[in-house]
Order: sequence, then C-alpha cells, then structure tokens
Amino acid sequence: MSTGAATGYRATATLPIWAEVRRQAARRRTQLALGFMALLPLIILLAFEFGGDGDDNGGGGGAFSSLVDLATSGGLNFALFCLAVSAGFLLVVVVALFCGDTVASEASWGSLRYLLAIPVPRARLLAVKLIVALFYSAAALLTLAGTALLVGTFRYGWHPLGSTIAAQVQPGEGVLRLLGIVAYLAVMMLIVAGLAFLLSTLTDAALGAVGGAVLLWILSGILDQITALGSIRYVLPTHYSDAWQGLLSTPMQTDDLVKGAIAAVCYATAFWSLAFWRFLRKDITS
Amino acid sequence: MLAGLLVVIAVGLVVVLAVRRRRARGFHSPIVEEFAEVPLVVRGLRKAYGDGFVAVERVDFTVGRGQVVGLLGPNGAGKTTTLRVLMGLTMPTEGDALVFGHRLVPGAPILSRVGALVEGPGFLPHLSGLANLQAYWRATGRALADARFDEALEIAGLGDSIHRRTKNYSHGMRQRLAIAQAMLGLPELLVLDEPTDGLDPPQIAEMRRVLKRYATDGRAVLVSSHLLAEVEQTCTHAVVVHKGRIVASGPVDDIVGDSPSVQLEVSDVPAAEQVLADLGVRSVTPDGVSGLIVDMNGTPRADVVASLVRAGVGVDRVVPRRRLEDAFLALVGDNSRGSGDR
Repeated sequence: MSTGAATGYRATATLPIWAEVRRQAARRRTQLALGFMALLPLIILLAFEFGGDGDDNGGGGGAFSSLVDLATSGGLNFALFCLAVSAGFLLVVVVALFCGDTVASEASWGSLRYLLAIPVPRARLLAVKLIVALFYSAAALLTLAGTALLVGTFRYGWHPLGSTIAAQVQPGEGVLRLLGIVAYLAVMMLIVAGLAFLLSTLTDAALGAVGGAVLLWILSGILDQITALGSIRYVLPTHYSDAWQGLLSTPMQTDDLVKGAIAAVCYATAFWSLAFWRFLRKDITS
Repeated sequence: MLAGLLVVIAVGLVVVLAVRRRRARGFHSPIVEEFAEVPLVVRGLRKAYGDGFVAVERVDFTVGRGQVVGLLGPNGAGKTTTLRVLMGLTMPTEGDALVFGHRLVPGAPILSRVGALVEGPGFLPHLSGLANLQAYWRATGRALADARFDEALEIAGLGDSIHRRTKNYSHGMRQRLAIAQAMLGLPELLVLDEPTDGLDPPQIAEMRRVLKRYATDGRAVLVSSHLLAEVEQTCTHAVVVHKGRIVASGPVDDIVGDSPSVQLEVSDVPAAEQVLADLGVRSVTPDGVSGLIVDMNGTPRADVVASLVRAGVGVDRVVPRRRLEDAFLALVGDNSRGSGDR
C-alpha cells in the first residue's frame, strides 16, 4: 500500500547513525569530554612525576591505597589506577552527559520537533540517539584506559600487574584482567546511561537530565553506606559498583561481578523500556 | 544466569518489535480517496489537555492546491496547537487531519510532503546556517539532489552569514533560515507559524512574494498570523479562529469586501445615537470617546451623514469597514482577554 511519502523518503533511512554521530561530534561538549579522557592520564602522570613521594595518606589500608602505592610500578598498574580514580565519579558524569543530554538538548534547541516532522519515527529517533550516546560513552571509557596504558607503559615500563592483596599477575594475563575491569565498568555504566536517557526524554532541560542522573547515582552510593538498611542495599544500583576489584585477586572472585552485571542489565532494560514507552506516547511540547 | 537474562531481554525486544510491526500494519488506515488530491483537510479537530484545558474546541478547514491560506486569530486562539497536530507532535483528542487523503499521526510518512516552521526556529547553535540545513537534510535520509539547496539559500538571503554559527544570528536571520529549512525539498504543503515574526518591512514584502510564488505548481501554503493586514496581503483564503473555534472562513476577496457596517466619528455621541435609531439601522455600538460603529442594514452612507448633519451633529470621519476586519476586531477588541495562552 502506498504511504504517500515524498520521493526518496523511507522511514528506515531517516536519521542515519552516521548523521547522528556527526551531529554530536560537532559539539564542544563531546570534544571536551573525549579530550579530557585522553588528557587525564597525562595529568595524573605529571602529578606523580612532580609530586615527589611524600606519603601523606596516613597509611590508610585497603585495596585503594595499595593501588596508589603501586601505580608507578608499571603501565598496567598505572592504567588500573587511572580507571579506579575515575570509576566512582568522572565516568558517571561523562556517561550521564552523553546519554542525558542527547534528547533533552535537541528539545531545548527546538530542533527535536523538526526532526520528528521530517518525520523520523519516534522509536527510531530514540534508538539512534541511544546507540550513538552509548558509542560515545564507550569511546570515552576506552580512550581513558587506552591512553593510560600507553603513557603508563611508556613511562614506567611493561611489568606484571602488582597488587598488595594478591600475587603478581603476568603482563599477558594482566591485560586480560584490565580488559575485564573495563568491561565490568562499562556494564555498570549502563545503569547511569539508562537513568540519564530516561530523564532526557522526560525533560527539556539537558542540565536537569545529566545532573539528575548523577545526583541519583550519588544518592544510591550514600544509601549503600548505611549498613542499617540491611538487605535493601543489595538492590541499590551502586551496590556492586566496586566489584571489579575481585578481578585483582588470584583466583578471581567473580560472584559479585555476575550479580552486579545482572543488576545493571535489569536496571538499564527497565529505564530504557520506560523511556521508549513514555516518549512514544507523549505530546512534544518543546 | 547472566546469559539467560540477556537471552530473555533479546527475546522480549524481538517480540515487542514484531507486535509493533503487526499493529502498524493492522492500524494502517487506507487513504480517503475523496481527498487524495487535497493538500490538507482538517476535520472536527479538538484538543483538550490533561488538566482540562481545551486549546482547540472544534476546527474544520481545507487547504486546496494553489492556495495560500491564512489562519488568523489573536494570540491564544488555538492556532499553534492546530499546527502542532499538523506536524505530528501533538495527538488530537478528537477529529483528524488529512494530507493528500492520508491521516496525520505522529511519524506518518506523509509528513515528508509537509514542510513546517512551528513555534520559532530550532537550530543546532554550534553549527553554521549552512551546516544546519545540511545536517537537517542528512537526517531525512533523502537524496542530496532533491533538497534544492540553492533555492532555499536564496530565500534565506543570508549572504556570507550562512557560514556563521546560528547562535550569533539575529532573530530575523534565524527566522529566514527556518523558512528556508521548511522549503528544503520543495514540499507540496508548507506550514508556517507567524513567518514574518522578526522580519523588517522590506523582508516582509519579499516573503509575501515568495509565499505567493511558492503556491504554484499545485503546491499550497498554510500560514498563521495574528495580524490582519498580513493575512489580507499574503493570502488567497482566510480562516479566522477565536477561542478554539472558527468564526469566519473563505476566500480573502469575499470576506474582505465591504461589510454592512461603518465607523463614524461624531461631535455629539448621544444625539447621533438618537438620529441613527430613527433611521432604522440594525445596531449602534460605541467605539472610544467619539466613535460609533453602525450596522447600516442597507441604509446608504450618504443618507446617514446627511441626517446627522441636518440634526446638527458634526461628522469628523466616515470609514466603511470590511468583513474580515469586522470579524477580527470584534474578537480582538472585545473578547481576547482571558482566552489564555494556547
């Protein structure tokens, strides 16, 4: 049956992924965020170089301080340190930025209604925007890990992955473990991506979507600190966010990793389903 | 367990997509043959919002090929809400709109034959004017040759500024770029909301020529405006809306013609009212301090003036009124307050 569309119009050809990649790539915030991810390892490296070896962390034990102590022992350890310091906040902000800003900013510019009037089918618009936002988020994470590994290896050499809580891991396997950590962080960030994307479809204020997602993530982290909450803590999205440390011990402790991944996939699916459900039905008022 | 979960989600996604496709096919309404050649037919359109506010009470009108139709009404009459439905952004509570016989629903492919400017321009601020138009056209997925960039750029008339970022544009420049964007691909129906907003008088005159020229070769234009003069000079047809209803519609030439009423300015209003009552006119309405609007009921204007002068009432001005003005001023003058923002 004829749809009556204009010559050359096909719903499945609208807003090609590459067009959306270019739309986002031209934005200053995309360039700055990705640039900063590449720059951060260099800044950390300089800090270690010029900071001397003043030991002022008061001997606070735990996995984290061991990471600091070992950061300069080799490229793998340096990359691990960079990931560890970014995982809690920086990555969350960057992922929330890419996923939370994508629809809301089009709404605030007023260009969303013109995209929908082309017409780009609403489900297609969301799917393309989500895929491209996830692509940029993944690019940010890989840029950080890649640059850190590169500059760390260049400066500190190719040595086994050291840890104070377990035996050394040979470089070859160390790379695999590092990749495992990157993969787990990526899965964890799906929760942030889901939440930010949902907020992005609900508001016209990009800042609200990005900030809202970061705030809720922090709130979840705070609640997770309150042990009195008991088993409720196990369903908090941030509860397993540090489980990647299990990959550093030998043998690897993967129980929490699997639980965390299941929770992340469930949360992300729920948030994205809600985002699509809502966006396909709402009146666009921007 | 994790793998199982992923499989469940993947299966769920496939099922949702399949159901959607099935439903889309089931709900695909056949075209209304009767209107297959009519650019736009709006039938019994009504929009009520969740909070009970009724933006559009009931609107019916038709835009034929070759017509420039003006949707005229004071701010808050429901013009923009009507146009939002035509862009598939807002779902009507009742009624529908047909473009070439196809029902307009959000995302309907027929929207690809409609170019629109509704509620102001929307551009990516970090891109130049030209890059914005290119990014927009890329998003349509259609062939570059179909866009007719040269014609659109000529209409925008931005000169070298087309290479500057749109965030540095003035209001009028953005407006012209948005009209050019709406005309990309020369869509058969052009929908423009307050197109002359922000333009200076020479540009407004130019825009009138552009719109008249556009509505040839079977194309049609629908413009909304709250300015009577604008619609009178640009449009072939007018639809006057107020408080979500149509109060007058038809070819501009018909409704612009002399109406049965006259605006008078006299030296002595009470005496004049007495004289007019004796002449048997249909109604007399005070208008300002010394003004009267008189529905003549067929009495020649010369007779009215003669009678007034004979009774010793000085007549400063006699202005025949036009139908469209009557319809419009009655609304804006008396009733526009409290109509809310639609």
